[in-house]
Amino acid sequence: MNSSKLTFLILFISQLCFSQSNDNQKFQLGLQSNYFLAGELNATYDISTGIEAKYFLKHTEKFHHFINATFTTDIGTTGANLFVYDIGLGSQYDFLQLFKKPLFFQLNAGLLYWQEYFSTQLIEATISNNTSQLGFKANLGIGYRISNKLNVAVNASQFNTHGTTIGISLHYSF
Amino acid sequence: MIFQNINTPPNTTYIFALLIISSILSLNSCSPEAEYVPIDQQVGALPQFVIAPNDNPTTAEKVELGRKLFWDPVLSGNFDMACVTCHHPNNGYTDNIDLSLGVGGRGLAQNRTGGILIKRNAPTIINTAFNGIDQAGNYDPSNTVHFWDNRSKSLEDQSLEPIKSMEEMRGDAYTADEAINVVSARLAAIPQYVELFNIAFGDDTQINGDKIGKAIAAFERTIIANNSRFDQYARGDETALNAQEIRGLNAFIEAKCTACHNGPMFSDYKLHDLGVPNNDKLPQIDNGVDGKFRTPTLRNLSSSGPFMHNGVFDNLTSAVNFYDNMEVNDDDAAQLNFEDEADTVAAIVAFIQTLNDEDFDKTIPESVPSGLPVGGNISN
Ligand code: HEC
Ligand code: HEC
Repeated sequence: MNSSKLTFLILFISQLCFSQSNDNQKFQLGLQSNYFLAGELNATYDISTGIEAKYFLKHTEKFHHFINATFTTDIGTTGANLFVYDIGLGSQYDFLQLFKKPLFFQLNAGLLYWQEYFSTQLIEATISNNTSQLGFKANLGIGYRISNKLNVAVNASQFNTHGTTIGISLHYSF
Repeated sequence: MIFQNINTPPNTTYIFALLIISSILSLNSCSPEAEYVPIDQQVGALPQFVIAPNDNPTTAEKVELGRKLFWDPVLSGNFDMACVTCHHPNNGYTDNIDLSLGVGGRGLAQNRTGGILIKRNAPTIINTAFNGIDQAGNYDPSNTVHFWDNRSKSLEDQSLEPIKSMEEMRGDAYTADEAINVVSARLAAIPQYVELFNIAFGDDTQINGDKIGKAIAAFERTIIANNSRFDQYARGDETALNAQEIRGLNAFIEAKCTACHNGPMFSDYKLHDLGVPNNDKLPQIDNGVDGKFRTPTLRNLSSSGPFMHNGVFDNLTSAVNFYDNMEVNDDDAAQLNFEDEADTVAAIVAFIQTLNDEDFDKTIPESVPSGLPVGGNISN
């Protein structure tokens, strides 16, 4: 683990201590951690991390519609780096109350733009290369609001036809 | 605005949020660090030119003579086998069957029937001129290695072996010791060969094993395929490989396949015991040299399957999958760090296919000086 990853972890944990009650929850800022399960990308990457911003358009009793934007990048890969930017629309559906907090499904889909940088040590030269592509991203999750401020979720995501991940996310509402 | 909401946590929250975002953004950069590869395990492009031994410089005349010999069944005991019977250009200079079928057989490649079962898979002739090449492009063509067990040291020496081999060419027409003399005498009785040998080696030259070997070797040194997409990539053309293939290249390096498959030919030219399963067709287990066989090149595999010394794997995917549970019998094998995930294997296979180069000499002569069927009994 390099130092930037460590700072990030410390900051994230201290961040959790700030939960306070707030009903006016239009924004969520979240962190994701994903594990590559299948697809072409799985040959290169093991795990990725992402930051997601959500803006809730409308809250009904059970449905919460949102716009989201995510930035995802790989962790701990040598010889390659992945950057995925995606933006989409989604919905959260509270299907059950558990300890007075909702358990919810979430589904969102959108467009992604992805860039990859490669570097390979060959005889007498290191060859670098990069590619970029547009595609789609879809995400299906099941989550729980552990406090007014904090949501946790387990997600399965599809990055174009090139990668399937499972992961966890934590979202902070404000 | 939410930022003015008195219930929101103090400003430190936003500072934290910004810090988190910036630390994620700074995780990676646009110039990732390449996996470190020690020099003696690096892979790269083949040179543009071939080195010939000092005592056998390549000349157009020798090459033409060598081509005729390569195609002419006059070199075989029963006039039925030529080198090309098992190393045909339409099959990437090999025969595309697990174990070659020798003397007495009919037909070519998968259509071949009958014939003595040879205990090994025929490697391609393509690029054998580079056997032994290291990372610096150095090799001594008169003192390198050929065959799955490295038993022959030059193309010149190697080319006389099939002529002497009972299973491959000789049959029971004469003994191994007599073979070269009998074949030389046959050639000396064919005026066109006498002329070709004179042009290649000087007037009134004596046809013998040395010159037969030199001519065939000179021809083989022109069977080169050194401009695969990987070669183009290694020479700086970034567009030559797609993302999937680069993934495979990186996975190949990361899995330490390069502990043995390295250099411009993707071979260390050393012997290793991988414990490859037996081919049930063989009555006796082929033990190579104490169970070891030489690391084969990974170039032009599209046309040289089935794979391994005994052709036991039909396709590249199974040959690569084999490394999952391989027994570890040497230091180089101990370096393997291979994840047998379908996606990794698919990427590695895609990468190995970029080592194919179909642009090699596929000339098929219309006739050979002996007047025998070109290539031996290869039409069913
Ligand atoms: C019956 C089929 C057959 C015939 C005919 C035949 N070969 Fe081969 N060749 C093989 C097989 C099988 C091997 C591998 C044998 C081994 O490694 O023990 C081989 C190996 C070779 C190699 C070694 C390649 C390397 O990378 O180590 C060369 C070169 C070669 N043959 C050239 C020739 C030439 C030249 C002739 C004709 C004089 C010839 N072969 C005739 C089947 C054949
Ligand atoms: C310890 C040395 C070593 C390592 C490491 C190694 N190989 Fe091999 N490879 C060999 C040898 C030796 C053979 C031939 C074995 C035999 O026939 O008995 C071979 C054969 C092959 C073949 C078949 C080629 C042909 O023409 O038949 C393929 C494909 C291959 N290796 C791919 C790989 C890949 C992919 C990796 C990494 C996952 C790898 N190898 C790692 C030594 C090695």
